[in-house]
Amino acid sequence: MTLFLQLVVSGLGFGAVYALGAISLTLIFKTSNVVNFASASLSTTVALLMWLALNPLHLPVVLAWLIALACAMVIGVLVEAVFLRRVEKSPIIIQVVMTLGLLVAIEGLDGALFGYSPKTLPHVLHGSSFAIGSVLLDRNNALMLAITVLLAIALYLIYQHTRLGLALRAVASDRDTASLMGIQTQRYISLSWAVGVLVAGVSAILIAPAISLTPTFMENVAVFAFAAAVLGGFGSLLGAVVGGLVIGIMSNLVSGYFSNNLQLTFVFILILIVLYIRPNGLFGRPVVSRQ
Amino acid sequence: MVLSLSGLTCSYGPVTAIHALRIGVRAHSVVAILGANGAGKSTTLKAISGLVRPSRGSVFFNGTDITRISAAKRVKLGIAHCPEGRRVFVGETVKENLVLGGHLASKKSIDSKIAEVLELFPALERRLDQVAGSLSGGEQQMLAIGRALVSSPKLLLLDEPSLGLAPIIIRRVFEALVQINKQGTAIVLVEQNVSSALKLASYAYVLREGRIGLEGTPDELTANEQVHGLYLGG
Ligand SMILES: Nc1ncnc2c1ncn2[C@@H]1O[C@H](COP(=O)(O)OP(=O)(O)O)[C@@H](O)[C@H]1O
Ligand SMILES: [Mg+2]
Repeated sequence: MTLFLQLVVSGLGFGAVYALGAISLTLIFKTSNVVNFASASLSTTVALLMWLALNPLHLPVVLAWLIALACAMVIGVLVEAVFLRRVEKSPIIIQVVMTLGLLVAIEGLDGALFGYSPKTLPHVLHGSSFAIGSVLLDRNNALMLAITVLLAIALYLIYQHTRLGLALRAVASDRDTASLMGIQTQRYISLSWAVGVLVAGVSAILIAPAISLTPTFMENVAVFAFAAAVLGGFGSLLGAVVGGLVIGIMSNLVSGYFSNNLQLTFVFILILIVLYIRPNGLFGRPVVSRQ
Repeated sequence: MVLSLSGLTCSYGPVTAIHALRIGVRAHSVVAILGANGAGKSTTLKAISGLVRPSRGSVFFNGTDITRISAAKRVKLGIAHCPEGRRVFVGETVKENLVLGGHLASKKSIDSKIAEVLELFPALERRLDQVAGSLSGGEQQMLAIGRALVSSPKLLLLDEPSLGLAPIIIRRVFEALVQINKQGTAIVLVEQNVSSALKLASYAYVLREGRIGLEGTPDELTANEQVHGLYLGG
């Protein structure tokens, strides 16, 4: 029982990171209807910029964070404005190819600029784990969980209870009609890309200390994040969080009881089962309409 | 003239949907645009509200050339477009749809405008917290018109508001349009329901294949045998 609880609790840390990745995908998808397959390389770039600020440049940590997060937002806005906007009216498959192309291209550029040798980012918190009964909770895992939950709550409140959120929902559901309401839709799409890449960047910076930082280090995380978004119903923020945590716990249990190599297999079996039972994901709902 | 279109031409790729249209709308008046399916009526409204860019010609609103201005900014100038098929935000509540209509307005003006809309369409009152997708077609049309009114437009563009509605609901919608017009809003009404439209309008254009086939006052048009031929012949 202790092993089980320990695996669950330590799974929450990675789960929180998957949840952040899923939130990022969800934010971007909700407004621009683009599934951002480039997420892994964009967030890696943010983590590498953080490394650049900390190591060769020796900037203070707080400043490095600010620079990394500001760059993340600029990257998000630019990727949308330069690449995705060109294909916004094209078939979905073209947009998929565009974001996959960006994934590979940016990964290659990161490799060329930063090299492939593993780098390290420092943990945010130092010190020993908390003990809750016989279960240990790592400080950094607790931090990741707290950041994820707070961010999800903040985003949820903005979406459901502010006029900004209402406008974002309108842009997401019908862009032309949103513009007939006087909404400058392009700004909201830029905003969602800025915040989306920001959130993905935070997830990369938080997870980097636990795994070594290379141009491809987010690929696995991104697969789990993508799975989390699908599990949560692609489009639901709550779903993204629950999906991320479930997958974090699940994959930790699988590697604890069986093997590391089976993580991905089990996670996708879970997804197949969930989608079989609930084709719109755990929190996705079919649109109610009489039109 | 609150609105005038001069030489307006719009194309979708190789298809020219409207060709060198010249249309004028006097302040406070109701102008009808009639014509068969595919004649270019919706495209004309989209060019006025900024959803499509004309390839030639200009749109003047209260004397200013707004041809190059974005759809969102035209709302600010006082143009509201109630699109074909109603296009309410089905996942949002009725209240939220109305608030969206006032995206550029202050909270206070939104509240008073929503109160006016509910007076005009009392059926919406008890549906305020329901998602718009659960409304009947008639209620959705009332919501779409109400939503357009929350921005306090000077010019209201309506694209086939009677489409798919029962006669009794159509009558109620048209009564509301009379009210709206009485309060000073000019209306451009696109309709297939010729008789209802001609009762409301003071002037009408009949489009055929993207060009103005006929124009005149309702009396002139009803006296003209051609209207029926042009219209039903499609
Ligand atoms: N989005 C579009 N893409 C291509 N062609 C279009 C599009 N919208 C309308 N058309 C064409 O433009 C012409 C006018 O259409 P429309 O303005 O919708 O007419 P109406 O509203 O009178 O039925 C039609 O031939 C139609 O097929
Ligand atoms: Mg039409």
